[in-house]
Amino acid sequence: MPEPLKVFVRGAPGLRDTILSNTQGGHTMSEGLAEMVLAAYPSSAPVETFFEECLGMSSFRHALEGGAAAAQSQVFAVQPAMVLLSVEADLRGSHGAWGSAESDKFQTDLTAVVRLLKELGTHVFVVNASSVDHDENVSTYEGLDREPAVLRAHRYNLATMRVSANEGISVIDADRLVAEIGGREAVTSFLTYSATGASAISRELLRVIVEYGFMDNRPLLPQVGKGATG
Amino acid sequence: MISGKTKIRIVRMARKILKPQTTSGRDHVQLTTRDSVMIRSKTDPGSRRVGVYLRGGCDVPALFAMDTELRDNVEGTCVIYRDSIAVSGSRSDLLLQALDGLEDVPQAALDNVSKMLDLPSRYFKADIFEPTFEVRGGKGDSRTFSKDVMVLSAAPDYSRSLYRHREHGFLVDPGGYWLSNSIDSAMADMGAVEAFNKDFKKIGRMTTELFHESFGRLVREMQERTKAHILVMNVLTVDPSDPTHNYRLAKNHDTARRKEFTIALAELSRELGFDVLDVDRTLKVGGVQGQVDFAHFTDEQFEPIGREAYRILREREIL
Repeated sequence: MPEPLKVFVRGAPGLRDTILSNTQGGHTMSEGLAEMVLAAYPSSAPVETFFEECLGMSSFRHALEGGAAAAQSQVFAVQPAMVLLSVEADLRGSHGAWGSAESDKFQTDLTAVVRLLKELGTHVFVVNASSVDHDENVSTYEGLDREPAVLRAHRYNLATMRVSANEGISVIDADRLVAEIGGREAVTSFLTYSATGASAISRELLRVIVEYGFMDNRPLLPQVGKGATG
Repeated sequence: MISGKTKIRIVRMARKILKPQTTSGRDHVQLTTRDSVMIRSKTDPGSRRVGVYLRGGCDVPALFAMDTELRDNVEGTCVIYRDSIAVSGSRSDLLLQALDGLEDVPQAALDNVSKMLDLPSRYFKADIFEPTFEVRGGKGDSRTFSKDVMVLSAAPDYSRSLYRHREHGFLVDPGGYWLSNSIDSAMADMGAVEAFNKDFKKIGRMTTELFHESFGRLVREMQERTKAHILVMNVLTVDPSDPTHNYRLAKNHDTARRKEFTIALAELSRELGFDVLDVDRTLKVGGVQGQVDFAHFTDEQFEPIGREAYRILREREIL
């Protein structure tokens, strides 16, 4: 029996529900990433998922900076092959102040998290956000005290793309996947996806990890950062 | 080689598109031409007159789909008119160049490039800043409407590359002139290609900083000169079916640029008080699978965009 492929999922509960099946602790899908891998690659290593809830990227950064001894995250004990993060917790927790200060901070924290995780020898994937919000349809931004959710989603998605460009990590583009299906069907409320939406995001994650070589007996594609060579 | 039957079909289709068509319902009459839709109430055609003027890329004609709502609800007469100068003549700095005047540029230089690129005669004119526009009716009668609503698009500023005249400094967008013609005609006129290359230097696409400055000024000038209500279409921020997941080798990816422009447009709306028609949201809610790219919509996508534009203008009590 091959060693299980350990996938460490850290984020808001919405991320858990988007990747993990009901039997694995999720609340949306009957088939999540683990079941999809089993169906598509029955002879390869099974996927073992670990979910750790967190308040945002800043808290994960502090947990990682504390190191294994501080034991603020199970990631040290699990030693996963890959870590899956998302923008959801930060986006939900943002105050919506106008400007890019909050998303800039997220970008800084995510960059630090990625670098620390790479030191642990793991690959990093980040699920971005669908900007579809059924409750808020803005046509003029004049006089708004807070940035609407749609605008914040654009800012956090952009920050995630920039980290990908700089650090070589991969983005699971929930924004595109949901748009392809249609938000009417794939989004139940802002940042909460229907079974159809969640399933599409899990399938995309599978497609991406297959590309990296996780399902094959070959060296994995590296996630090369801007400062690195090769 | 096009068959005879195909030729007949093309001619028929062209006639259908080009020939003005009048249709009527219980309460309205609609006149549709190649570049306008006019809908009149049968009971009170003169009570209100609203002109909606479109200028931008391949996205702005989606607003003709407002006709569905207008047919049921029109008060007075409403016309939706699309300027014949499309995406390659609609970048904001190009429009402002016309407003600021080209008096210092020798007319011969403008004539030369106009002939070379087959530019429309209005290309270097500032008529978009005029408060009225004319719509040609089905029987050749001309009708003047005020620009009550100016619909612009962020697409030209986002997508177009401009060239600057090396000596006289004016800007031009060559558009699809060479692309639209056969390679034979382009090859036969290599002198023109060389002359263009000799006279003009590429300045490329607009930065978001320049967009903020240039598009912001365009809106302010239009608000002041036309008194029109400004409605700006944003752009789809994802690429349908694009499998990119790692941006390490795609740092200037178009979807990142479109997100930047969409954010900048929202910030400008906050500053200047114009409306944004959130095409990005409308398309994402309905689904974008059938789209070939960000700016070209399928038939099914026109309707919700038209409905959303109508909702905004109705809320503003313009329609």
